[in-house]
Amino acid sequence: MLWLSLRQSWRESRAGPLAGIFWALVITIAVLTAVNSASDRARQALTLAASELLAADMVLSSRQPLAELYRQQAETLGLQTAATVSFNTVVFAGDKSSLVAAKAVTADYPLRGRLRSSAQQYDSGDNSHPGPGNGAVWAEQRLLEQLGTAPGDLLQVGDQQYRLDRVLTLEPDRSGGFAGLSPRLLLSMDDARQAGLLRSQSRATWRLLLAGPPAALQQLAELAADDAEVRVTTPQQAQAQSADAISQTRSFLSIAALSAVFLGAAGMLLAMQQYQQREQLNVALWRSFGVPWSRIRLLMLLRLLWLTTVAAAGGIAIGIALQALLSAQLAALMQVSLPPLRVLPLITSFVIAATLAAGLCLPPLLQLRGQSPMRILRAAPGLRWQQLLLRYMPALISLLLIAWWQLRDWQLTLWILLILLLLLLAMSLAATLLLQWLGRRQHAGSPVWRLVISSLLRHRHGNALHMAAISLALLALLLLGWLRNDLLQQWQNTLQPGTPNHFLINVQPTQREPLQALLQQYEVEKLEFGPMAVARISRINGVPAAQWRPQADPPGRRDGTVNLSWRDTLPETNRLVSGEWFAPDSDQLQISLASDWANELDLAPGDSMTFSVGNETRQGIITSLREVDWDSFRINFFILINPAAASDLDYQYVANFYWSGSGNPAQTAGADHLLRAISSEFPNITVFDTNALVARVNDLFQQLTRALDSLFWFTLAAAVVVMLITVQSGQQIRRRETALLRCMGVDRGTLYRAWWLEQTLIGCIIGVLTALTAALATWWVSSHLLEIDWQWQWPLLLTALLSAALGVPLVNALFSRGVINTAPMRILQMA
Amino acid sequence: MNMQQRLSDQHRVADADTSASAPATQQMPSVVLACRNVSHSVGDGADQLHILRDISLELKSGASLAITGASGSGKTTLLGLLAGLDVASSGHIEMFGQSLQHLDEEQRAALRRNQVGFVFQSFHLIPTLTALDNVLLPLELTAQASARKLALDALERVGLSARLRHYPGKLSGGEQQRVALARAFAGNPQLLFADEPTGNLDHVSGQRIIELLFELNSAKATSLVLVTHDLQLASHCDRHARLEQGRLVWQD
Ligand SMILES: Nc1ncnc2c1ncn2[C@@H]1O[C@H](COP(=O)(O)OP(=O)(O)O)[C@@H](O)[C@H]1O
Ligand SMILES: [Mg+2]
Repeated sequence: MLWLSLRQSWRESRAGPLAGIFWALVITIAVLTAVNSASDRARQALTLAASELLAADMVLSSRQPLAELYRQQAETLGLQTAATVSFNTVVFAGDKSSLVAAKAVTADYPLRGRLRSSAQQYDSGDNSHPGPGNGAVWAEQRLLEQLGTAPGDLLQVGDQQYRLDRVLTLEPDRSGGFAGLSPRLLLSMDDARQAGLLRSQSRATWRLLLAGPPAALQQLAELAADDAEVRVTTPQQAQAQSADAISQTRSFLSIAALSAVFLGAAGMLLAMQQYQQREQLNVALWRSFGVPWSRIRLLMLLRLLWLTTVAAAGGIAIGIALQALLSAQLAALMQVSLPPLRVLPLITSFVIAATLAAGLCLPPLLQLRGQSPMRILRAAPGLRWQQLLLRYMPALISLLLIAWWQLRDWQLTLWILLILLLLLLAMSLAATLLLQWLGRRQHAGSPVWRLVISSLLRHRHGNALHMAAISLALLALLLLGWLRNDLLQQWQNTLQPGTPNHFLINVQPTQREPLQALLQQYEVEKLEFGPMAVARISRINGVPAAQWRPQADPPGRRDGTVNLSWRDTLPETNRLVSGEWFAPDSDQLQISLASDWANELDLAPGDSMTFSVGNETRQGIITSLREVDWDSFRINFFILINPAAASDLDYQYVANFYWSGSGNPAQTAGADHLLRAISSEFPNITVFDTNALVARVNDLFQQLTRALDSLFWFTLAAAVVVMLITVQSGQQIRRRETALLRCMGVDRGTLYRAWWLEQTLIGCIIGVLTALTAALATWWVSSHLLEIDWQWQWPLLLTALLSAALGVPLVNALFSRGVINTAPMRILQMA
Repeated sequence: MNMQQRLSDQHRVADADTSASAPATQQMPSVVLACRNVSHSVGDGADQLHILRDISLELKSGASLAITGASGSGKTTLLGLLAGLDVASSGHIEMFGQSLQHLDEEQRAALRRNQVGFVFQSFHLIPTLTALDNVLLPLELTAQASARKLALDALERVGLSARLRHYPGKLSGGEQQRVALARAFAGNPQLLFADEPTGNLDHVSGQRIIELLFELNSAKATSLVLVTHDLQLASHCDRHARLEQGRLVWQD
């Protein structure tokens, strides 16, 4: 049987008509494979990018030295390891001393990403060096400022002296949080041990950095899960800058993969429908020969399997070539080396193709089981839309399963089902209404009009599928284009030139004026001050704070103290997510919390918090939650209170500003470098230079943008190809008909006009309905999956509408020009 | 004799697939096809169309029957019903002693297997297969022994040996009709239904087909049911009936 079916399929494949179906499948699968594989590789690259923010794929951390067991186990599992210990200590240079946040690292640190450093001061540095060797330390510029030292000087750390080798400008796992951090001192683990720094550290954090295959990491995470002392951190959990952007891009890539599935479905819909109709005739014939059903069923399955297997083999081969091109471009644009092609997306492509093929053409064929051959042969091809919907239900369900497989998100998958159903329903409804309306007018009007109406009525089944296929492809495209625009818009807000690149802390209220004057001389921009008072949370909802959600670990809360700030208006980069902003005329303490912070502690508007400031306690009510954009490089606070309630608090200022001359010597001759000027005039103020960090985030955003873009344009090209196939494949029957009409003497002009009118009508329906569906779909994806702002995108919608309304007839005309001009006899014989 | 041998071959094949045809081949009835009070209508309500009314006929083994009638009189419908390719609205049809309406589609297929040949009015050749493959296909699908030889033989007999590798699209109507005929009788059926087998043929080719059919009829005792407009062909048959307003009018 296997042999027989193979031989049959082979024999048939040599003839013409099946070739159209076959090539439609091949191209569809090629597109599916290319987008799937390229987005898979880009996604893997992003995982690496996210890992860089942690300097590892996973980190175990503990307040005590980590058991040797973890390192041994990690090595047994084939993972790379590196260790770090962070602690505070004091360093001396001459008669000056400074508190530093020291970090002792092994030679392998960092496992992901690079350190940036420079041999000179005020330089953005390069990342060509491994970490500090034995006998040398690296420090951040502001330590040099505080100690008045330069690279090459000796520093006293613990009971040893080390040479200050280089200026540290960026640690990959440096978080954007700034408050309360002393300048970083990086030294080797051996030196730290030798200097006796690790012995008496009660407040150190020991970390084991890990990198390697996910399965091994998972195993180690499980091992550590039982250890109450050990905390496991993955890149997703790390609250690092641009983590959001990375995960948004990952989601976008998933959506791109899903769009590829839509494109695949669109391309396959008509091809498989034609295949199914041929096969239906075959079934009737086999039946009349007396072939048993079990054998017919097997034969159908095998033939379908051959068709999809061969088409998939060809499609996947072409797809691999395409994705290689695309990936090479992606790698060049993102300036990364992409991980190698994996087999999984290839298998996925095959499974998707096979599932779609089976879902599209098997159910109607299997329904033929009890039918007599004469009925099948005489069956009218037209179906009502309810029947159509029912017939394609299995295909819809397979589409959903695939969607789920691509996205691994049930909620999203169900939404997609809903949206697709809506689209189909709307389309059927529109078509039905239109046909009814036309039906009543069938005998009125010009001959052209009558031709259009009769053609629409005659082809309603084919048209319905045709429309579904085109709009599916269009939907895929709109979805991707829309989300791309939304994301870029969002990122642009972060990416704005002039993002603050310096932070100041410890600014005394009396220093604000003179500092501002100094900064103005250096032409800094975006200068912002925020008052800040230190408080302790004593009670939450009447419960002692330590007992409130004891498992919770909100960021920015050290030793139970928090920073409070106050202001009249909602910060520019924040968004109110619940509650009301401060009522201005009340002295009552009102509290606004960052929503991620509040969620960690399970707090909502209406809850109460008690702060102790000095010897006093003050109770207030949480009145709002704010979503804070931590990527914005602006001063931001977890806790804001109303200014009226803060009038008698002791406070300092923190500030941020943008200074373009950063990294260069001062522009004005004779003047000190800005940072030196600040530290000499205001020795108590600490300056953080986040230029390198801003630059890195900028780089990353640019890479992500490029990745997004090239994938989008590729998908656009793919969609155009699929739409061409789709539009064109509906034309075979039409060709015959046109030829017949011409035989009967209908003149060319009438045919042309009827054709244009009909296709424009169809194109308009597709355009309008798909645009609306895309709006609905993107709204949901934006607000629920990507968590970005959604907005109407008129230009995109208009383009989609126009391209459907004009594109459909245009492409049709392109493919049919030949028909109207060739001799009818030849066309009739071609079939 | 030869026939006995062939029957037991079929029996084996039939057995392997389903038991439905077993009784049919056990005792060879002298009446291969019987039809009593068959009526057929399609559609419902206002659209209902009574195509056939109260048809009765009988066909003995080795006999031939011609059905004529105006176009649209229901000839094709009747032929389909008689061959078990469709089920009558009412009445009773027996093929090889088996009552068709008591069988399901699967059992009717089993009954047809290797015993019934059918030539469709519109041929229904598979456009993607060559002439040879078109004839070969049913033989292979029903697991006939030495299928290739039978197929070549059949095409030879309809005079198409030179066109084996041609696709139906490249054959003329008459040639396609001959391929369809070859496909129907290649498996040496006991009962052959043909819907206007000479409808597309010129006089000479038509004549050859008629000779061929009656050669089968006499050499292999194949019973024939022919739908035709050709009165000469009808007169060759043992019996001749005309369909008028859905009723059979016997012409002999
Ligand atoms: N399934 C059906 N649905 C509607 N009308 C049918 C159907 N089958 C046959 N008819 C009608 O029944 C009549 C007889 O058809 P047919 O048997 O093909 O005639 P002919 O004698 O020309 O072979 C025709 O008018 C045909 O349109
Ligand atoms: Mg007929």
